[in-house]
Amino acid sequence: MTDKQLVRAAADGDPDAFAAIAAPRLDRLFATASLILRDRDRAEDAVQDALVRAWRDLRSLRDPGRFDAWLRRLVVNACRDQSRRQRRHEANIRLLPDHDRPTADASGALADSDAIERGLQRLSTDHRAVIVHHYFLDLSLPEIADALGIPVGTAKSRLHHARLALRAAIGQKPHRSEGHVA
Amino acid sequence: MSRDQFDDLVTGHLRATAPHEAPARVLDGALDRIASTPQRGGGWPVARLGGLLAAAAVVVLAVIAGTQLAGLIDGPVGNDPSAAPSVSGLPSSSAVPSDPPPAVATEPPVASEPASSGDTLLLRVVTLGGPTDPASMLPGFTVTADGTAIWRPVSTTAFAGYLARKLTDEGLAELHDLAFAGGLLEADATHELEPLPDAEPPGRGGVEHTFTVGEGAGQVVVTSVGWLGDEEEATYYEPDPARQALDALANQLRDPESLLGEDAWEGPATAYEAGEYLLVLVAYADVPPYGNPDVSAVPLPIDGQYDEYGEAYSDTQSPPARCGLITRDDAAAIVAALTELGVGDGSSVGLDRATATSLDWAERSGTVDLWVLPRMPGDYPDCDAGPWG
Repeated sequence: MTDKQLVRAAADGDPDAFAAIAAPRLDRLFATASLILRDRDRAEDAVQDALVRAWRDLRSLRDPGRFDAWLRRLVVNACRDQSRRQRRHEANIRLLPDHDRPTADASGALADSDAIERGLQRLSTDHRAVIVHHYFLDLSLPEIADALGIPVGTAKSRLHHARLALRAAIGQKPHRSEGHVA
Repeated sequence: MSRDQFDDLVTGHLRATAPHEAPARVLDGALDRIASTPQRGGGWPVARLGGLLAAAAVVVLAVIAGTQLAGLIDGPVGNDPSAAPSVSGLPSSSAVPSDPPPAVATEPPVASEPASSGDTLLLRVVTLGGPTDPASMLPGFTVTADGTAIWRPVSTTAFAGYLARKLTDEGLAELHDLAFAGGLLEADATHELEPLPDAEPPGRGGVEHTFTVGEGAGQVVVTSVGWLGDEEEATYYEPDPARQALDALANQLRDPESLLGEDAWEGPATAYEAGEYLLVLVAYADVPPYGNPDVSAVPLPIDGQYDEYGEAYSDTQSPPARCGLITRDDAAAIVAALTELGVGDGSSVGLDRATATSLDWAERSGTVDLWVLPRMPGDYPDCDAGPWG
């Protein structure tokens, strides 16, 4: 069966067909959610929520050929939901000095990577989603706009601002005693 | 650090920190959950061609029956063909390029509010394909007697807003020539796929274009199937230039600004907002909630329960879709509330588009699927017209 046939069969209520179209996409979706949320436990929840919504609303998908783009959007929306839930609990999270992570090395790639990680943490979920879709999934701006459910101009603007923020993070490496936002 | 270095650094970091494999429990857990999750829209999937043709037949019959019934109620239906709009009543670029388009007499419209001559339907194109929902019943293209074209622009978003733009007289005449020169829209017709002898088509889906010309007793309805398969159409089906020409026309009309050029228009395109809207609800009791805003936070013009709203329109769907006509003000209040609640993704809520969303229904431990659909000229769609009917 082709993917389109599987999508149609799943829309007709065949859970095996749904599993067959979901399984090969799972690793990619999980990686995407993990990078957007920077938290694998919440990424698991987000991907699972997105898959359940995909099953529930599959009949609303008019063009089976758009299944991948549609599923990406569901995952991004599920990441947003997870992020909103997280914010509700942020008041209870105390930021601790980072003694376990590699410390900044002013001359090495490790320092840059640490700075990028710090920059990613500071971005909003929507801006991180743009970065992940651009740099990790290597999607075009129209494809990113489709996945995020935003106009292409908005996607372009978000990418621009997210890149600026990351560049600033790299240019302002934290001192080793500043701690790390975990 | 150069731009390339920065890009490489970010890409490398993301690849290095991304997990390579999802835990099996993610898919297992999802499959466990879907076992107890009902699929939505059970009454209107028409994923296969047979279903598409059947749905289109329902649409055509509903439009014709609704129009004729309204004529019987609101006044006698004229039998004089000259009293009804027809293809020949449209302007031709070679005949009347500089004069205003002639007024088109019509039968009384279906809706409670009489249509002005300005919004008398000249041509409407509805394309159905794949699984459908109420939003998919909205036409891709409509043009009225006064030259107002309304269309849903080609977009990467699923629920793009409708645009309206006025054609010049010359533009309307040019559109007439493009649409009607081939004579394919002069009389009711159905163009189906005819398999070649001994051919075994793979059973892929198709799209069904329904062209509706004019209103009233002289209304013409032409349906035509477009092939969506991955293989060449000619491998399995008889050649049919008429069907292929109609498929091409429907696709061209999806982007009328490119089709006609800038000189064909009087002014800029604006967002289309209707005078009336359809409100369609499907209320599911006792299904897993999804953490969406509750339906009680939306000012729906309903007296009583959500599953008792309007009329039920389904023979097979459970729960049935329920449909009714609401005013623009009511629609605006719903859209404003949904926007304030943060519902949708920025493209699925608005007066200029098919608003579609799901809301929790705490009172009954369920959810409510909601559509607010702008009505188009010719009082389309009506509650009787959709797959929900």
